[in-house]
Order: sequence, then structure tokens, then C-alpha cells
Amino acid sequence: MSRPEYEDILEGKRQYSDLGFSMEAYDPPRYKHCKPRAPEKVKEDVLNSTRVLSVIEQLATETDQSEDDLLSQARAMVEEMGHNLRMRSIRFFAYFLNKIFKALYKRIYVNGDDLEKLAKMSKDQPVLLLPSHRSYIDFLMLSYVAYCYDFPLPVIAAGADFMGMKFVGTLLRNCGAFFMRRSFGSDRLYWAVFTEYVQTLIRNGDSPMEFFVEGTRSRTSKSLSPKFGLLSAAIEPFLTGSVYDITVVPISISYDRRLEETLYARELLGIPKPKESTSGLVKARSVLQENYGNIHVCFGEPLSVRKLAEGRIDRSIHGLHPRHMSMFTSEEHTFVQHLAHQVILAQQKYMVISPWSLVAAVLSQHPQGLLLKKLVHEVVWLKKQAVGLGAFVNWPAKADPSNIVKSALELHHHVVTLGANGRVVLNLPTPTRPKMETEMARKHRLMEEAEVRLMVVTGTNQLLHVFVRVALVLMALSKDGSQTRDELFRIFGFLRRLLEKDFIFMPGQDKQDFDTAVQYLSRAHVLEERGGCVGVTDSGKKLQSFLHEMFSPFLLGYWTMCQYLLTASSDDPRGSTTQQLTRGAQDMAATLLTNGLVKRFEILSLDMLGNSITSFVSMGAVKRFKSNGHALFLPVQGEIFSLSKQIETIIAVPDLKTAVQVIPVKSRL
Amino acid sequence: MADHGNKKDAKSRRFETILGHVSSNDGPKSANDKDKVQLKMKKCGEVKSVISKHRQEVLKWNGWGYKDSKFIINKKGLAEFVGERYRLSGMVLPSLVTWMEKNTGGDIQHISPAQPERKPEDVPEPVTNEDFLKDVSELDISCSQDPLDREFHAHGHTLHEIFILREGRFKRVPDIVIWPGSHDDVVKVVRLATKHNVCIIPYGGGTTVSGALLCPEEETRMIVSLDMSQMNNILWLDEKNLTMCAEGGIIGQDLERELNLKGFTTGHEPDSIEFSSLGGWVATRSSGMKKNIYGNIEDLVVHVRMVTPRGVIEKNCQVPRMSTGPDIHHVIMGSEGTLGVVTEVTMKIRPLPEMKKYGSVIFRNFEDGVACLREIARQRCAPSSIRLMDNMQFQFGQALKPQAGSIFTSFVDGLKKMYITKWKGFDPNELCVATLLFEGAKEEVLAQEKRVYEIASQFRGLPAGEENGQRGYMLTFVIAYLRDLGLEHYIVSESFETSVPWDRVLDLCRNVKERLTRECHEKGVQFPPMNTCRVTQTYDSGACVYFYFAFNYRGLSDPVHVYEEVENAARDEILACGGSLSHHHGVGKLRKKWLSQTVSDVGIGMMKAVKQYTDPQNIFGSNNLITLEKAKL
Ligand SMILES: Cc1cc2nc3c(=O)[nH]c(=O)nc-3n(C[C@H](O)[C@H](O)[C@H](O)COP(=O)(O)OP(=O)(O)OC[C@H]3O[C@@H](n4cnc5c(N)ncnc54)[C@H](O)[C@@H]3O)c2cc1C
Repeated sequence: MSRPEYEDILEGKRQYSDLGFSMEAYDPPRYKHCKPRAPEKVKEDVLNSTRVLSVIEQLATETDQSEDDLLSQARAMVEEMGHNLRMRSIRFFAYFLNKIFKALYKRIYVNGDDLEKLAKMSKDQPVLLLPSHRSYIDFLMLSYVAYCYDFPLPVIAAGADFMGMKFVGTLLRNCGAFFMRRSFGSDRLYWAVFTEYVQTLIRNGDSPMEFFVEGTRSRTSKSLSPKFGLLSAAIEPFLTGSVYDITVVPISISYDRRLEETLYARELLGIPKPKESTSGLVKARSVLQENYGNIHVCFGEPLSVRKLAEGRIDRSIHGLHPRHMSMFTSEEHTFVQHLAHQVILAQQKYMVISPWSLVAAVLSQHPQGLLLKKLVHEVVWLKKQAVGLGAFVNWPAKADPSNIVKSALELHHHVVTLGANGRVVLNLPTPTRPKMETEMARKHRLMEEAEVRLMVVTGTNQLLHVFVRVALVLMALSKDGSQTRDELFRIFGFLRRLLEKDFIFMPGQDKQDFDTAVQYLSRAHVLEERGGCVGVTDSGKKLQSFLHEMFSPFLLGYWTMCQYLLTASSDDPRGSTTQQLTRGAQDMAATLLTNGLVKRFEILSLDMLGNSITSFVSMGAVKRFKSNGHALFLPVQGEIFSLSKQIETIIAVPDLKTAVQVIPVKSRL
Repeated sequence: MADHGNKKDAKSRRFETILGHVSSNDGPKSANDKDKVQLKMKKCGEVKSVISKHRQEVLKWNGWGYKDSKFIINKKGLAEFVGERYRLSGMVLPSLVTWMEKNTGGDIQHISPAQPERKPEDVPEPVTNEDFLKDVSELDISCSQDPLDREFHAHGHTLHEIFILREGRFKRVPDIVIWPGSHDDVVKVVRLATKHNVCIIPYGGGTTVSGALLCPEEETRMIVSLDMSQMNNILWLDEKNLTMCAEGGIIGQDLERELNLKGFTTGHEPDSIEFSSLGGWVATRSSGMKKNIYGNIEDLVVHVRMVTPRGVIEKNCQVPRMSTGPDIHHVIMGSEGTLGVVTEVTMKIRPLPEMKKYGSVIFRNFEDGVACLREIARQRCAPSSIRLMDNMQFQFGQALKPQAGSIFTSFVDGLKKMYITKWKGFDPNELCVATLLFEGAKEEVLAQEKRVYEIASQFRGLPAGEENGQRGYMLTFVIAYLRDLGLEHYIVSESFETSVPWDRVLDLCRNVKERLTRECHEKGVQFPPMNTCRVTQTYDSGACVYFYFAFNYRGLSDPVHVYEEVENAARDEILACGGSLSHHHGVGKLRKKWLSQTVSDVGIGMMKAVKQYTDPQNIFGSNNLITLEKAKL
């Protein structure tokens, strides 16, 4: 796919009545082998499937439950799960969404030509729509876009947390949502019912199936590491030859400003989030009075699972076991993992970077704010860098850059203000005099400040995937500016592994990632060869220091976690939960911040601190084990220590020895 | 040898009489003085074959079947089947041309003629091993180095081979054709070949569709095509045990005709029965359409003699079953001419059934049809033959409808009349037909018929008459002639088959068709291909599926290559969908590259070990199935 061509789908609808729109002819194409059936029939088919029946039979012999009992359990599961896609609801939704979207957004851009091509393809094979997930709006938006383009409405795998909401739950079901429990670990019956539900829909191609490879909404606006369960289930019909091919469509949905921005910032800090309830959404009405700018929905290059599997997977192996038994070979596991990563990388590739994101990136490096002129200058520079790396930036060519920046500021007036003095500053809570503050109050104020700062951070986050590979190369160089290629690759490899959970890298492709990054940097005259070593050019210094600033908060966060873990007594065999660890480290980070030992508020993010644990586990620096069904973690002190030391070679960290009194006695347990 | 005491039996005597009428065989047999004892015993069973020794006198040299039978486009531009041998012979088929044009995007005006008669100089010069020739000439066994004889034995009937005959020439053909007259002749020839290091390729009916008869191009030794046609005697028939023994060269139709005269049948009816041979069936593990009653070749064979370079392999008894280690028959069956020559086969026979009745059922769609066949198989009440054609094949059958006035009235019109009320719901573009053949005692047949139609009705299937069933089976023989008509008009076509578990039948059919269509498109075929399939055999645990596939190759420089790539892709698809490499056509050279993944490396190793022991010099050097490393010679 070349550069996507966008059109604004709201434009035509502004003069047109919502009712008229919702009554338009809607006659989408259908998968050619589909045998149409009602949602109720789908459920029946699931309950009558060999997969479900055989699990019921097994469970009946293994446990003391009767087959009838199990069958009614299965029925309850499929009822809880099932969608109820109906034309009437679609029309209602069309009406409703049309109204709301026109109010909320200035423009909704869609690469319509590509979607039309996709509609044609959807006749030939079942389609998986795999959008990025950064807002509740995502799936509403996608169904709305589908309706606009006469594209078949998808059925959507949604988290079961919506199910609780009576009205919304029903509404969503009627619009094609089906529900998946968040965790059903070893419940074989649930797994069988769910797998069959997904697969029967794919085999028969009743509707395109939409789900989020990331598993949940990304609060940070960074892509989350993919989940493989649902994708595996969805791909399996191809592996067993039940369908000829499956088309996988990565979809990037980019927002200028998300509805839930404040909510997310609080969540990241661990300020409790309201449970998703209907009344909660209604309260959000005031949210609806704001302007949220533009949305870009980009349907990425469709991937043919068959083509991707060619030469990698021998499907004939599945001739050796009954078809209702799921079996994955290790090649197939790897294949699904790669596919999932490929999808997320493709989503990233077609993300549209909003000017706000650039503004935020510059602002995060100027905690005290800066002059508009300087800001514009920096933003223009940064834009150039991003575009050089292939990012799509929403930057009207003819517009005056300072107007672009100003409207980005305007759109985010809840976060920043352009003062009369021409200075751009964050809307931070007014400082009180520190001396008179209690510890509690200081923490509280810190969190309030963090809330605003994190909203800037989530803006920046949308940009990180563009730079991450070159940034890691440049950071690997930071100390004395020049390194042998091998050494550079080693440190790059270390950083890539360390940050694997925070950024998306294709597994096993360290070398390619490194080579492409180095190649790019050399061509851009940022790097040069100096007698067998690689070093940064003078003109490259700016990019290096900018990216260093941009990414060092992650290392700082991980380092903080290291320090926290090092204070834990190494012989305590009881272990701690992630929550205990992240909260503890967050406390420590807060202390570091209030004492002015560090400046970056990112390290308060529970998300980042959690990622550091996962990363430490996979690097062998933290041991994970189960106790009473809970995952517990234990640091391996020596490993943590050496990790911490390695990080210290890359970023500057406060000297805790001289500031030892600020380290709180470990607050956990 | 077995006891022949029961020859005095009344039917046996009649057998002798009848054969006395027909056998006027004055061929090479008279030469076999040395085998007098053997001959005396044989005399009772000499068979006059429909096929002549020099096959090209009766058969096409560059196409399918009898010289006098073929499809032509008559002066009115309509298709006509000429000749006198078949029920369709002499009939005009008014809708065939239109159908072909519609389904392959072709135009009957575009002609791609074959080269005229083969010139002897176009056939490669023979490689001769003088010492071998000298020794052979002393044996007094019939042989020929005539180029046309040699070329005729150079091939089977894959598209590739026929295309070479029509438009090119073979790089390598047999250097001599030898017609042994008896088991002992074969022993002698094999011994000489081993002595002089000459390669032998046994030749039965020449109907193989796996490239099994092709001479390896790299073969530098002299190649003998050992034509078994003169070994076509029925040696004896044993009514007590219901077995008969015949020589390996006997052609299916001759064997059946003779047995029928005596009131028996083997019941083995591959579609190629007119031309394929008993030895060929054994060598390829063939399957006949009536296997539901009679069994496949492996169920029918009681005893085999095979001459190998190591000596003769056979069992010392003719028993229904034994537990004596791995069954050596299963090494012989499917050996595809790589281990030795099948000279004599004892096979089960059955009395001719009292009643034979055709039938047919229409289904709303292929899915219903497959579900019905599956149920019939589950209940183990499949008639002698049951075949399910998909919609395209059904329509194709319609296109082969001759002008009015024959048994061939319009199928759809007939049905509409039959089912004025029930016809609703049958979409002519979806429906499909199963053809049935019942055999047995009258009441059995009628009861079975009833049961089958009852099951069919559970799957919304309606009986569609005997005529339609019969027509289906009759067309089977004629369809093979159609490829030659297509080739005259830029249309290449081929068939291939597989076996597959029941629950994968539909998916396999759908995916393979899809693959064929897409591959053609990708390979630059300008018109959508015609692809169609039918389920031709049912088993307890699965079915045999048969595909026909054709495309118009105008605009392609190397249609055969494109064809082969597409067929390879289709085979990959079959395997991926859980199908087998072959249900009955065999491996030959065409499907060799998939054999190790099919039977595992150890499996291949075992085959090699058997080959290595039996034929270390690779005398039977057709290189089918496996390639033996040269080093060990
Ligand atoms: C139109 C058509 C329809 C067909 N239908 C069927 C069908 O319904 N079922 C089926 O099973 N097959 C079918 N076939 C395939 C083919 O007819 C069979 O494989 C048949 O068994 C081959 O017998 P043949 O005598 O023609 O052997 P050939 O083609 O002459 O030879 C086949 C292989 O067997 C070897 N061979 C032949 N005779 C001997 C012998 N006496 N000793 C040792 N090796 C020998 C040859 O060397 C060669 O490798 C069909 C083919 C065609 C063209």
C-alpha cells in the first residue's frame, strides 16, 4: 500500500439529516461461502459442535458434574458471550453515532479507497479487523465507518466489563459485540465454547471479526504487547484447512485528543478508576461538550495468512488429530506471535501523528514551559525528523507552522496555556510554599502535577515508536560518543531486550532493527564511521540529545524499580505481587521527585513500573512463581544490581548514597 | 500350482467350449515350444484380445482410446462423437461446444492442431546392447525395435505425455519392445537383462497417469519395454473357492468378458478397464468403482507371482488370510514396476449378480450430498457404486446431452415433471447428483435401493431415475475422449484424485478448487479455469475425491509447464487439507517429490532397502516412487 489517501466522512453528513443517514440503503458484500444464519443459530451451532460436546463428555467423566449440568453451563456461557447483530440496532446506532461524532469531531478521515478494495476482498475470504486500541471510541468508530462505506459490520470481541452495563451491554450486543471473560484460565468448558464461537463465525464468514490484538485499551497511547490467545483461535481455521485463507487487516486509529485523556492519566498514577457503568458514561456527558479535533482511521495493507504461512507451516500435520481438538505446533505458536507483532507494527506504521504529539514531545523536555517561537521552531525540527523516519504527520503543507502549533495548544487547553507573554506553560496546580506542606500534602500536590504532566507524556508517547530504534542506537553511544559496531549492537540489544515490554519489536529481529537504524542514521549524517568505530557527527548531536531526553525516563523508571528491589531483603522468600512492587517503587519515585533528585514524572506511571517487572522476569532478574493462584515475584539481587549498573552507564542517575535519607524504609508487606 | 480337479465341473466345460470359439490366437505363442507343459495347461484359457499386439493398429498413437472413436466438430459446428463402440457413438451433442466455450473462455474456431503422423526419424535412435540382443534372439521371444512400436511404449496418459505426442518428441523412449509369452519367458528376459545390465520397464495397458512408464532421460543403458499383452490367458478358474488365475497381461475388458461368459466376474472395474491390465492393477494398487461390493485390488488378490532380478517372489498357498510377518503382497502391490514383473495373479471372483440396477439422486447442494454419502457409509449400506458429482459436473453432464430422440431427454425438464411440487428449492446452479449402481439378488437390490433413497430423503435428496444413473456411468468412458477435443482447441485438461477423512471432504474440495482458480490467475491463464469434483468412493472413515480441471491456454507459451505448476499447487493444497498423495493413481514420477513427507523418511528408507535387496542393479529402472542412489551398484 502506498501513502493512504484520506477523505473526511463527516463533511457530506453535516448538511444531511441523521435520520436520512440512518435509513440509507445498506447492502454490504458477503463472504462467498457464507451460509447466512441468525445470531441465535450461531449459538446453537456452538452448543452442537463436536468441540463443545466432547469437552462436556470429558468433564462429565472427570468431575462429578452431569452432562446436562455442563450443557446448561455451556448454554449460559454462550448466552453471556453471544452477539445479536441486528439491522434495526445498526440503524439506531448510525443515527446516534452520526449525531455524536458530528458534535465531537471536526473531521473523521478514512482511507476510503482501501476500504472499498477490502470490501471486495471480503467476498473471497473471512476478514479479521485488528484495530489499535486507545479509546472506547475505537470500536464504535469502526462500525460507524463500516456502515458509511457499505462494508459488512464486524462482530467485535469485547471485554466482559461492558457486559455488566445493562443498557449499553444490550446495545453493544445488538451492534455485533460479543463478550469474552478477561480471564478464564483453566476453565476448559469456557475455552471450548469461546473458541468454537469464534471459529464458527470465521469458518462461515458471517461477518468480519474485529478484536484488539493488544487485548485492552492502551492508556499510555503506546502500543501494548500483543496477546496471542484470541488471534490463535481466529487463525486456527486456516491451519486446519477449514477456510482457504484469512485476511488480516491492521487498522490504525489516531486521535488528536482522546475523550478519556484525564481518566487515563489518573489510571496510570493509580488513582482509582470508576468502574465502567452506564451512569459513569452518562456523567461523562460534560466530556461530550468539548472539541476533540480529528480522527484518522487507516485500513492498513491486508495480510493474507496463507501467504505469510507459506513455507513456514506444514498444515498437513493437522490431518493427524481430530479437527475439534486444538493443537498448535511450535512453528505455529511462533507464527502467531510474529503475526501479532506484525499487525501491531503495521498499526504503528500507519498511525497519523498529530501536531499535538510533537508539541507534547517538546514540552516534556521543557518542564517550565517555553516561548511559542521556540516551541514552533523545535516542533518543526522534530516533525522533519519524524517524517524522515517515515512517519505520517498530519501537517498541512501550506499552513503556517505557528498556526498549527497554536491550534494544537487550543485543542489541549485543559493541559497547556499560551500566555499573553507568548510563553507556553502547563496548567499545573498552583504551588504552595514547600516548607509549610505536610508530607501527605506534598505527595498529593505531586500527583496533581503528575496528572497534567502525564497527559503531555501520553501525547509524546504517540511519537515514540517512530524513533525508538534509532534512539536506542544513539543512547547506546551516549557515554563517550563512539563505539565499535559490535559493542554498539551489544548495548542496543540490551536496551531492546530491557524495553521489550514498553515498545514493540519483532521477535528475533534485533539485527535487522539495528542495521536499519544504523543505516538510516548514517544516511541522515547523524552517525559516521571513525576508524572502525561508529560515532555521532556534530550535526547529529541535537537529535541524539533530544532522543536521549525522550527515552531516558523509561530507563530512569526501570532504574528506580531496581533500587526499590534492591532495598527488599533478598532472603524474603514470600515474594510480592506486581501491585505491591509497582506501588512501592512508585512511592520511591515520588520521594525522589519531591526531593528534586529526579525531574521526570513518567517514572510515577504504574504501567511503566509494571512493564519493568515483566522485563526483569524475562531477563532472569526477577523470579515469578505462583502461590494460591496469585503470581508472586522475587528479585534476584545480583542480577538486579548488575542491571542497575548497566542502566547507569547509559543515563545519569541521582547519587542515592549521599541522599540516603530520602529513601523510605521499604513500605511493602 | 493349484489343483485343477474341479475342471470337470459343468460350467468349466462350457468355459472351455466358449474359449474354443474365440481363441484364434496365432501370435507369438507358437514359438514357445519349450514351455509345453505350461502351455497345455493354458490352452483352455487362451483369450483373444480386443487390443492388437501392435497397439497403434487399433489405438490412437497420440490420444486416448480407439482410433475410430473420438469427438469431432462437424460441419455445422456442433460436437459429435464418431465411431460405433459406445452408446454415445454417432451422436451429435448440440450444447457441448457452447458449454465448453462458456466454461473455459475458449472459442471453437481457434484450432491448435496436433502434428501429423509420427515420422520414424523423430523417434530417438535406440541404444543397443549387442550382447543382450544376441542372447534374446536365441530365446525366440517376440520383439521389435520399430520406432513406432518403441514410441508407443514410451508413455502413459498424463497431459504432459499426450502434449509431447501432439506437439513435440520424447527425448528418451524404450530401445526395444519385447513381448514375453509366458512366465518363463519373463524369467529368462529378466535373467538376461540382469546379466547384461539392461533396464526393463514392464508395460501393461499403458493407461498410467503418473508418468510411471516414462523412460528416465538420464538412463544410458538399453531400455526394454516388456509388453505383457501376449500373456493374457486365464489359466484356471476354481468355482469351489471362487478364484481364478490369469496372466498379468490380460486386459480388463477381456478378462471380464471371458469370466462373464462363464457366469462370473471379478467385480474390479477401474474406469480404465477397457485398456488397463491385471498386472498393471496390481503394480499400481488400483481401485475399481464397484469396490463397495467386491473390494479394491488389495482385497481381491489372493496370490501373485512376480519375477524379480533376485528370483520369483510368491506365497506357497492361496489362503484368505495369514499372519506371517508383513504381507509380501503389500510390497508387490504398488511397486509400480520397480521391483519386477507381475506374471500371474490369482484373484477372487463372484457369480454374476442376479440383478443390476442403476439409480440417481439429486441434492440441493454438494454439502447435502456429501452428508448423505457419509451417512450411507456410516450405515454401511453403500450400493456397489455411489458417486456424487458437483454442480459443475452435473451441468457438464447436461452439456453432453445428445439431440432428442434418444434415452437422453433433458434431465432438468424430466425432473421438473417428476417433481412438480417438490422442485422448489432446487437451484440448477447449486444442485448436484449422485449416481448409483446396485448389484445383487433381486430382493436385496430392491431393499437396498429403498434404504438408500430413504437416507437420501433425510438429506432432502430426491430420486432422479435410473436413466440418469446409467448415463452417468456410461459417460465415464466417453469423458476420457474429451481431452483430445479440448487439445484441438487450446484447452488442456487433466484429472487427479485423493482420499480424505469425511469431515474434511467439503473443505478440501472447496480449497482445492479455490487454489486452482487462483493459481491459474497468478500464472497468467487468461480465462477462469473449469474445475469440478466428485466423490467417487466411500469408506468407513473417508472418501475418494476426483477432480477434473481444464483451462484455455491461449496466450501462454508453455501451457504444460503452467499446468504442472498449477497441479503441483493443487496437490500441496490437498495435503495441507489432510488429503492423501493418491488414492489409486499411484506415485510414478509425477508425485514422487511428496512421497517422503507422506510416508516419512524411515518409510522411504524401507522402500529403498527392499529395492536394494530385490534389484540392486536397478534393472527395473523406471525410477518410480524412489530414486536409488547410484553408488551402491
Ligand atoms: C481414463 C483413465 C481412467 C482411469 N481410471 C482408473 C480407475 O478407475 N482406478 C484406478 O485405479 N486407476 C485408474 N486409472 C489409472 C490406470 O488405469 C491404473 O493405474 C492402471 O492400474 C494401470 O494399469 P496398466 O495396465 O495400464 O498399467 P501401465 O500403465 O502399463 O503401467 C503402470 C505401471 O505399472 C507397471 N506395470 C504394468 N504392468 C506390470 C506388470 N505386469 N508387472 C509389473 N509392473 C507392471 C508399469 O511399469 C508402470 O509402472 C485410469 C487411467 C485413465 C487414463
